[in-house]
Amino acid sequence: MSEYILELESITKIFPGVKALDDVSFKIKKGEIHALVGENGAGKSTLINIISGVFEPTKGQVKVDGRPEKITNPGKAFDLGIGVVHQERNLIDTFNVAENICFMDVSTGKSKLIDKEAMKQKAVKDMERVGLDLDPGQGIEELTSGKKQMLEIARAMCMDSKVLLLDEPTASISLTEADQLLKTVKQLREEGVSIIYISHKLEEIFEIADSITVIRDGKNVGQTLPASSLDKDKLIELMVGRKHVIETYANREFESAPVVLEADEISSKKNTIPKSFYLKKGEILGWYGLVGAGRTEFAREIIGIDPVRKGTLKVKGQEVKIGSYEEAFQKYKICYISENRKEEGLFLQHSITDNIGIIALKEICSRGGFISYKKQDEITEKYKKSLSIKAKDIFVETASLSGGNQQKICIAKGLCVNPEIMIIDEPTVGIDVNTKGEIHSLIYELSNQGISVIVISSDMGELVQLADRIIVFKDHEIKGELENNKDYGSMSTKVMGSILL
Amino acid sequence: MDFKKIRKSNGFSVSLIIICMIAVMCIIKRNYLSADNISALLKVLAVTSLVGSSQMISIASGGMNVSIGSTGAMSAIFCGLLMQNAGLPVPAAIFIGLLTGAGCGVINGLLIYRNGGVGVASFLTTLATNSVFTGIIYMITTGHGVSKIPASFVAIGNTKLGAIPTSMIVMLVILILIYLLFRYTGWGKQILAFGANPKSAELYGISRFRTIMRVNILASVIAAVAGMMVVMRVGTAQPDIGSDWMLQSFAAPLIGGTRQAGGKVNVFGVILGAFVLTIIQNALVHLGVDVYWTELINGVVIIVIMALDRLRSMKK
Amino acid sequence: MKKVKQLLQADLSSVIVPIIVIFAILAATSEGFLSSYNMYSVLQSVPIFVIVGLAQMVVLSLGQMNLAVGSIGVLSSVVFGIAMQKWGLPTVVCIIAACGAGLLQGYLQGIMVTKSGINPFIISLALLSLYKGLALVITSGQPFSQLSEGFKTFGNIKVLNLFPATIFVAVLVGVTMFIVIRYRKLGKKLLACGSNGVAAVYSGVNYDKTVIAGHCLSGVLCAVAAILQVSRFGSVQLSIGDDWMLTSFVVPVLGGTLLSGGKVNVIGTFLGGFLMVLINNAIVLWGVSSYATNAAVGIILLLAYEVDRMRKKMMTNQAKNAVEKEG
Repeated sequence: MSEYILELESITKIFPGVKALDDVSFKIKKGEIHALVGENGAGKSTLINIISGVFEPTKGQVKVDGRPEKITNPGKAFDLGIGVVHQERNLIDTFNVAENICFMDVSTGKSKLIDKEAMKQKAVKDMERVGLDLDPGQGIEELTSGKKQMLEIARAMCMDSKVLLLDEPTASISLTEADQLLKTVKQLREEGVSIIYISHKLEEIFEIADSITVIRDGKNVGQTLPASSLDKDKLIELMVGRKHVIETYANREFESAPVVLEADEISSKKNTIPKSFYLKKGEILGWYGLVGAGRTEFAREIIGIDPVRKGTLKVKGQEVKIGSYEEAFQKYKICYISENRKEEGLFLQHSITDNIGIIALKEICSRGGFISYKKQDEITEKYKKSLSIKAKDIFVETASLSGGNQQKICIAKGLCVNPEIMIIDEPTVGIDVNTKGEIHSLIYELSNQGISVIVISSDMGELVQLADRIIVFKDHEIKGELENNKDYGSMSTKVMGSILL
Repeated sequence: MDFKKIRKSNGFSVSLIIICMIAVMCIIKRNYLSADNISALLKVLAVTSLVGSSQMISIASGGMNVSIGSTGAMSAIFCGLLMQNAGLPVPAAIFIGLLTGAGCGVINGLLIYRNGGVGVASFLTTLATNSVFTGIIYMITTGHGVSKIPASFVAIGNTKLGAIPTSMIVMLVILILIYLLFRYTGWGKQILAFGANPKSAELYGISRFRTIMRVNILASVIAAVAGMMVVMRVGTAQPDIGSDWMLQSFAAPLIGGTRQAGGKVNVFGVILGAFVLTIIQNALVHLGVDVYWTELINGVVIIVIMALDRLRSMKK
Repeated sequence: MKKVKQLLQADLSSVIVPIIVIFAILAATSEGFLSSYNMYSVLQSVPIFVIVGLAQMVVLSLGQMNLAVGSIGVLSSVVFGIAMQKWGLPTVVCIIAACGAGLLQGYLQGIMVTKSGINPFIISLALLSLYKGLALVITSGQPFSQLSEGFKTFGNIKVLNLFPATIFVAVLVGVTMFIVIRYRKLGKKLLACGSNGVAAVYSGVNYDKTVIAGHCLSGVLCAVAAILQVSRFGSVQLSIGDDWMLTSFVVPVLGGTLLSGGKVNVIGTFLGGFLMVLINNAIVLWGVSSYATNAAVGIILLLAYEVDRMRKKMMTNQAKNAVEKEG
């Protein structure tokens, strides 16, 4: 018997395009709540996936209860007593509540025959534990995202797990639900379950965690520390830890600059809460908020994908109605760069130059509508140089590039339309520190050239360093607007203040 | 279950269509509901239902299988040849027929798994194996059917209990087993979960390989039963058995309320769906309409019913 | 092993090498192969395979499938037959009418795929039945054989005592498709939608319009293939297109078109058609049962899948190496 229930030793994981984990080690004691903190893209979710057997580590080993184990598939993880709630929702839409809660019995092959009554009883019991009150026979498609989240936690708990992994369990649930969840987590600790808890919300961490491991850019930051030896500022310093690495840009004056984009109480069919803001020429406006706070959705309203229903949107003082994204970038020179580079930004099997070509179709077509590849390559070479995209040549497939370079291509695609307003969604998610700095300076330069930029980010440090002004989002609403004084400490208190209001 | 719920269900509307069709046929043709016609209808229905339920299992797992027809033909031919040339006793021949189906299922399963698992991959893979199986059948038979089928074999599907042919009973037993599989066993739930959301299913420990293998073996064995049932109905084993199963196999479960994208089945709905298809075919024969209309009408019926289904889900 | 990999990486080599190998084996083993009669008949089959392959390739580039290639072909040829035999219209008008019919059928499929929300596979499957059924109902299964003499002879003209005239049509279609895919906006848009539909929308491509255009183009190509088939047989048979479905997938895939969409190769498709004809010819010349053709085509598709998979694997390996180098 070992003092530690779970030990990770020198875990390294390489994905096509990115080195997600680099020599990470930590240990979890029996019956403790162990917080795993780090910024977006630091590698926490990859770690969870390795512990739960979704990925195999490239190097390193995992010990469970002192014995080295190879967790080759999720079934193996369950057999070892490791339960997990992933960050994305993983419910089966066509199953009812009880079937979803007892899903692991089925998926791991533990129960060969389904006993509906026993399942219902078990489901009711497990739901009680997390404070859910649902009919076990009802379908789940119409449940709110908060209810679905609790359902997943109920599912993870119904296994008799020795270790429970919770990846951002409170990201999309209401405060009361979160309170109930924290209570349940503490209750489980009393029962002797070890818990790995990942969260962006530092208050939660200090409320429940016994010890804390910090991960930054896929590496350990120092040793695991007892939670009592840290305070919020220290923890943030450990998490961000790179104030000196990435430049903080000086404040600029926009008093006399013209307003290029102004929204007055706009709302759409999907989000009926009215929202207002303005954007000045050459300004970098930060949109801060957690995942699911409604930032991307708001951007979609502005660029015409979910068209505005009520309120007025003014571009350079003129009231406009944008009905499609084509219109947004062709007529009003607004471009949007998605947060999902791979799913929504790039054509991965295509070369760099073809990726650029598709958005620059107008420029590269000669008379008669024939495409000039010479022109396309010229344009691509120009961006490759100006954005210093690192690739052998412009004909390599974008799938083979690193995340940072892929992001630069996305930005290049945006620049192709000669935008006056750029909305960049999470520009540095999953990108290593150095490239992060490069992309920041790129965005800053663009704003100096007179392009107004909206940076959407859930990385507070990033916005403090980069933005001139910050708007705070929560629950699909604009909760506050702050002048950025470029001081992380005071800014984060202010932002947290406006979120709690 | 209150009436409102029943009224809104898919089964209700399809049943209504069936009743209307039968009523119309009864008005046009006096002796439409004669015992002979009913039993002829039911014999075809049994095969179509099995073909549909075979496809339903593939659809449930998020895939599809267009080699059902050639799998059925292969089992029928093997089973027939062994009885005719080797004088194999009937139970042994049936066993070989089922084994042939299972073999086709294993080949399909392995290849589908290798080519990526669901959706398009399963279609193209089975399209290829369909062609290979068909080629093998024709090479073995050189295009000729097997005509000396023992009477005891034919009797299994052709005996009548009242107006109900035994093949109907075989079909019902198999469908009840499938129903039990999806409703009460872990295997069935695993298949459904995999079909609804393969990524989550794998995250929670459902093996992609095992699920795909199970689905394909099961589907192919059912196709084998359907193939042999055709031999029982017709009395000979022709190599072109199953050549027209592709459309039916998708139409029956989808009309019956099986979810297109996988993850939800309606086992007894398949019978309703098959009923619609069978009645159309039967009616066209009775009305003396050119056989050419069959394909056209089948195409239209599927589009119309799918569109209605779509409208209903949009209203929700 | 490394050389094999390099060969695979060069898209075309996976078609050219088998062509050369089979050609050499056939030339060596069977006497009749190089005879001008046999070569002529080989070259006469090529155009149809190639154009059917191109018709499927266009839809594959969108990441979708067109199961109805054969049915569109047969219905278009019925329109052609009616126009020529019943109404006695001039040949050019008949050809335009048939292509128009193909376009219309493709358009209908495209509209249903984009607007109805029904599973595209089911739509295509239902239309396969519907178009074929319509062709049968219109004609009651009767072929059209009173076609204009000039048109019939066109399908059997020999140029230089070796090349059928239809092969030049195929080359023309191939070149046109090459230009459309590579040098026209439509081609770029098709590939963008096939590679990543959401990214295409975020790049300002009208997804629905592009998909519909792709299906239209595919429909027209099916009609062209059908017309060539008619001119070769000298009559409109209702069995035209019955065996097109599998071929239509095999030909482009052999030529390096990705099944998952977003990458096509027109020249490869052309050569893929040639390879298919050679294989069919080999089966005939070697005296293997003609039924073996079916099995052979199936196996070729499975092999093509294997090549497709290896290409993809190499792509991810490249990506992995890129990281290791940077790190």
